[in-house]
Amino acid sequence: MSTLETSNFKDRDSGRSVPAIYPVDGSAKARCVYRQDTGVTFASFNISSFVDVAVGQTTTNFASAFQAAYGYALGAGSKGSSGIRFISSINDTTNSTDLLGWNSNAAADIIISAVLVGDLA
Amino acid sequence: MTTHLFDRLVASKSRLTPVQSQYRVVFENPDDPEACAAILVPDPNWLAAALAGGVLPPIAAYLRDQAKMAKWIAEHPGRSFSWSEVGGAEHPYADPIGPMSEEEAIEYLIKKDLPQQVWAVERNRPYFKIVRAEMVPADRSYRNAWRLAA
Repeated sequence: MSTLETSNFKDRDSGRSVPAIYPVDGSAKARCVYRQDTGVTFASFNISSFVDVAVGQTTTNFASAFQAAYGYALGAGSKGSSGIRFISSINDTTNSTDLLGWNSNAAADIIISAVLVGDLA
Repeated sequence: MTTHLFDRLVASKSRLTPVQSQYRVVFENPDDPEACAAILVPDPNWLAAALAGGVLPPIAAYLRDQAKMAKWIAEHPGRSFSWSEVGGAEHPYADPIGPMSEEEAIEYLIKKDLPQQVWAVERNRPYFKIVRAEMVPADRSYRNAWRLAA
């Protein structure tokens, strides 16, 4: 594997630039598309396992841990479903987070679509 | 210097086909006796990396990191943990291990992702079982009442 070393990326036409550290630190470090009722993983990265804790509650364990328990952000939604559905997270640690699926105001098994952004350990 | 685990995961995902595990781990937490049984599902990309070898660190590196984190949290109640507080984590930079069988990979995951009180402490009954995926009920009507069968 070869490595390109640089400190800045610059667009030739517009002249706009971004430091190399920006995509390094700003890109998603973990992601998943996971169906909570069947345990099927449609897509994933940097996840070692999912734990079905209860209806609508899934622990997502990271293969490579994040730097800090409150050092990463979750962006999430529910795929392939209509109605009011959303996802929240609890029990954040550097190694895992619990993703909660909700249908209106009740816990429900949904298809979780999530990305996690932050610095790694 | 050993490549960071994240970079090894990126490389392995681009060249390996995900592997769906035929196993699940059903467990209960002895510290939370009212909770229903939980089911661990191995991630397909992680399992592919485990079977291929050359990607994952030794489980001992994770366990040392867990012990370091638990000690810091116990000594600093109410504070949020960061690896910078303890001089960094070991597992991302540990030398990768060779290929595992699927059974060895499941044992590795039990140690990595299940609470230690589930598998590391000898008790009067087992608190986890490795089962085939098809043995987990598809009907989830009473999911929050599931218990580990004796």
